[in-house]
Amino acid sequence: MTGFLERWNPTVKAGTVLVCVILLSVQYLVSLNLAVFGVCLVLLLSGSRCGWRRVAALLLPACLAALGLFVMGLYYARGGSVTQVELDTVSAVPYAVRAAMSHNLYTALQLATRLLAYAGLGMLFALSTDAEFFIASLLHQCRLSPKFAYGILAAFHLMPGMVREFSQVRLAFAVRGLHVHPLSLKPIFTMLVNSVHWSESVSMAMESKGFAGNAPRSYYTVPRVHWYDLAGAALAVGGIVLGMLLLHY
Amino acid sequence: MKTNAWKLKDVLLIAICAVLFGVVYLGCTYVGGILYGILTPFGMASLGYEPFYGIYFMAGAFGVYVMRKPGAGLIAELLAAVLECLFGNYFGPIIILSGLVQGFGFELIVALKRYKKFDRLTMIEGAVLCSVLTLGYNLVISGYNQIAVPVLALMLAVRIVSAIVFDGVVTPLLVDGLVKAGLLKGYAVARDTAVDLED
Repeated sequence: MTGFLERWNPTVKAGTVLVCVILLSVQYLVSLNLAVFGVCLVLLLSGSRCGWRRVAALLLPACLAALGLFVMGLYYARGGSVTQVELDTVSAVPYAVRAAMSHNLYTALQLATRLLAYAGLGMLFALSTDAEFFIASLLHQCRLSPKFAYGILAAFHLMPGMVREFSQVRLAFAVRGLHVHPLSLKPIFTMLVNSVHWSESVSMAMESKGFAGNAPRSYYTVPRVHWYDLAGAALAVGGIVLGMLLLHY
Repeated sequence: MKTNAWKLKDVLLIAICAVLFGVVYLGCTYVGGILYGILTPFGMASLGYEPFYGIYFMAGAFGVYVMRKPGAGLIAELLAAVLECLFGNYFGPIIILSGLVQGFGFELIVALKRYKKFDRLTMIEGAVLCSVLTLGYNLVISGYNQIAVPVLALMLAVRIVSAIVFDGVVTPLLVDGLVKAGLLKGYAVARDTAVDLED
């Protein structure tokens, strides 16, 4: 049984997330950011099949990024630099430092919670959207050309093989006594050569099976936009606008 | 013969290479993560990933340099962004927004040169413009306008150097290698290089 987030039309869902992000980018309310983040997590855990483990696996890097941004804001917020205040009035240091720190603390919270709100929205999409359903939706709702849609899917499914091949190529270099680090150009070049070959053979394979780019074709699934897809979008955008109007901190 | 239509083979080449650059970037996240960890107590955490920022633009640079036609930079970056979204990045569709900005960087430079010049200098200019535009994106969307200007300047400087290395130098170097190996026959880059040899 799929949750309501998984049934939400992916194009509408992606559009909703983008509109929400643009709305959030013009405000600096810590409470609204935290509310968005919290609501996204609750929705993910209640309205989709993804378990808390997958949420946690994405949440950890997001929280680390937020922490980094928090410390950065604390030290280097615009207009609240501690050293500058110290230089201005030596006698008022304790108060000035405290004032600067409290200003910086709020800026730091704004930056960090904004990142968390974005991560919440992004995860809401990433963890509840099936790749093929998303591409099928882009095909029908955004009129994406089948060439691009199936090209993306082919590359997507090639990825595990590419990771395996990449480590084998690097191993092959190491076996020959050539030291390779993550940015060594030789294995990357070998992989690019492979990529050119793959692109040729995959396109040949697809075309020989009758794939004809823009020619009319039948579809296994045709995602549609229902009233509840749009209602969900309106609810999300409306909620954020309401938050922007009602919240003050 | 010049044609603006994308063949399935072209889409696959760009998409597969975008995935490859993504894998290369993942390989660097360990180093970036360590740098990030070291820099966090100094408030410079975001600087940790900046040295690898240029890898983000490689799909766009590759697309522009190989395809050499209108829209190549934007399409390549959008393909990369949609793929990254499918792989489950925690920013989800927001990546598509930043991909659009990155693609626009290269697109603007080659459009200004009327899609006629695709030399190293053009690629370096594209890399610099891309860095500036993405910092603009960070200022508005990520809220970096709240951060002190010298710190932003430092971030931009590192990002520009990274972009010049990865997109202005390494990407054209790799593609020229592919052309020399005779692998990109039928692509604009091979056609232009052949003309260069005749000169």
